[in-house]
Amino acid sequence: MNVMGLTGMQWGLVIMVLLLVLLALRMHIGIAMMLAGSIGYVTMAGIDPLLNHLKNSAYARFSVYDLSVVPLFLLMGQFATHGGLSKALFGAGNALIGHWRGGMAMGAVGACAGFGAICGSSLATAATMGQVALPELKKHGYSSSLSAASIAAGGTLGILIPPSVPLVIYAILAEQNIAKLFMAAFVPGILAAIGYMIVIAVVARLSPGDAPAGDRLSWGERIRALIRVWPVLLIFLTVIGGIYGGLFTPTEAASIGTVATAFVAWTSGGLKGKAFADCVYGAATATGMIFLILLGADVLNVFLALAQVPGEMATWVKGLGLPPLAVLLTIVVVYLILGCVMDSLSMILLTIPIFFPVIMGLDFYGMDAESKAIWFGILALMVVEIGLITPPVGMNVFIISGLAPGVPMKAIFRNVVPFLVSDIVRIGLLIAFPSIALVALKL
Amino acid sequence: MAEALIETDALPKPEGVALWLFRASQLFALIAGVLLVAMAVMSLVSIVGRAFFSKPILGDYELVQMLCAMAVALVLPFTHAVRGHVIVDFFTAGAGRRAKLVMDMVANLVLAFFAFVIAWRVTVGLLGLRDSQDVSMLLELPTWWGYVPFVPSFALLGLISVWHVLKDVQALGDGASAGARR
Repeated sequence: MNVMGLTGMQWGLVIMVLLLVLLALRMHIGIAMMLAGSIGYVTMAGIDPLLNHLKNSAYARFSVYDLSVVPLFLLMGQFATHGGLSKALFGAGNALIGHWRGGMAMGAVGACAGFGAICGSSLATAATMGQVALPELKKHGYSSSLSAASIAAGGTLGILIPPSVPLVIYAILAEQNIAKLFMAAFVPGILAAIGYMIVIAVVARLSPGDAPAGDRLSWGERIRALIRVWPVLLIFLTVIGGIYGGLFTPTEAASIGTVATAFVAWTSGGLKGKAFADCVYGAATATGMIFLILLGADVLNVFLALAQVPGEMATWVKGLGLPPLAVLLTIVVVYLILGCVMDSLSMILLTIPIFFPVIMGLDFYGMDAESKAIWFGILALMVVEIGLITPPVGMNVFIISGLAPGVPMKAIFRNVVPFLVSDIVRIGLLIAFPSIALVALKL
Repeated sequence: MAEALIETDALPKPEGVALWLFRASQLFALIAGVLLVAMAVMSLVSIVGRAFFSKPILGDYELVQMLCAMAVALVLPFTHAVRGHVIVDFFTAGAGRRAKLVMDMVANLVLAFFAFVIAWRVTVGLLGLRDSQDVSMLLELPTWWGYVPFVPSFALLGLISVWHVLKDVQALGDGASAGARR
């Protein structure tokens, strides 16, 4: 099909450039996708098919069964925050390893990982752990920029460790099994937490003044601190164990988690007065933001499919005869650049429809289609998550600097660098050894 | 990442009609919250029923789909009322205040346009489904029920956008007159 003498692929590129211009000019991301997609679609097929599509597309998009986990996970994260679970987690991490040099910051990273296990969002993880841990770290003489950087980085564990909202979106776009993707994210998520702890240990050795050792607690105190985190453990085991074990669907698991965290928040007095409304407003804002982008991406993807961009792009890349790893590294670099200016979910929605067919058309280590799809999903998740802590718009760093007044953003970004190194190393390992992600599927 | 950064201090204070729009969006969001909790409890009951009495709730999938779609549609206006729909502000960070206001005004106009178009198209879709008496598979619920909250929700989203446009225009005017006085 030709538009003004351009092939579908060329017209698709014109529209993508238009989209980037609209994005740069401060248009809401979902609406920019909708506008660019509509222009492309109408010029190719006329206005009636688009109007016809819009009759049912909103309901069709919002009523996808698997997507219902998104608002549930977000609500669950809000309840968990109000239920004081972040405090219990930090207390436990602290009790166990706080007496090591840099141990309290490591404990905070561990607590982030724990909170990430019941929360699907990085910003929520960074915000709640920041509120709990920053004052404590300060009290014990940790430098504020190291504490802030540790929690900003630790916050990214929120989406890396399942449940993970961007991974749900990837699963739907790539038509993959959510349970398997969650399982595959588990080992890389633990590796990330360990990597961050190693970074803190190294920093603490190099400049001991930044990260003194905390108090050593008795085993009795440790056990009491651990007992306080049992709700987290129970909720995590039920939700994730249930999904892994195939006992219930992700939506059912998220429902259990939502009711359970609401119960914990309620019994701990965290849902008194306006608190329930605040939980709902918090979850509502995040949900609305995600689904408007989904709606826009739907229109854009309908256009891209009509212009046959994904298929032709895949054929074109395959025809170049480049080594598959070179293509993959290019994609990783594109993500790192986009991540500097865009949020992770928009990146996934914008790029997966194009990158996914490209990756699937190439051969990596002779993997079968499903393994390749899962491996690439985890890889993409890890790479886009880096955007949360890279300048100039690292959202996690923004949040933390809002919680730690007096700490310049630059100082946090400088202290984030070692954590970025650990991220890059982990991404390199995952590219070289896909089994890091796939091993959990073979158990 | 899943949320926008919201600087509540920077939000324009709603007053008059805008206050009612804001309150309506809050009410919609609260209804969505209640629908979501109801959906979660329903799933839980269904799981318990399935596990212990091998009797899940009939059509629980359908209910989840319909309730979730309704809830999601209902939160869209609130997100916009607190300016929670994300933008890329990196490239314009250095732009002047007026340039930013003009760009935000255009963005809100386009958002309002699409919100009203979708409200209109969903209404057409709803009426079509009602006429054809389309029902869900197991519970035989009329499909158009799910569409009902979409209409007021997208209309409210459009109105809130218009409110943001007016605020931006007003801010531009304030800036101009302040400049003239100086």
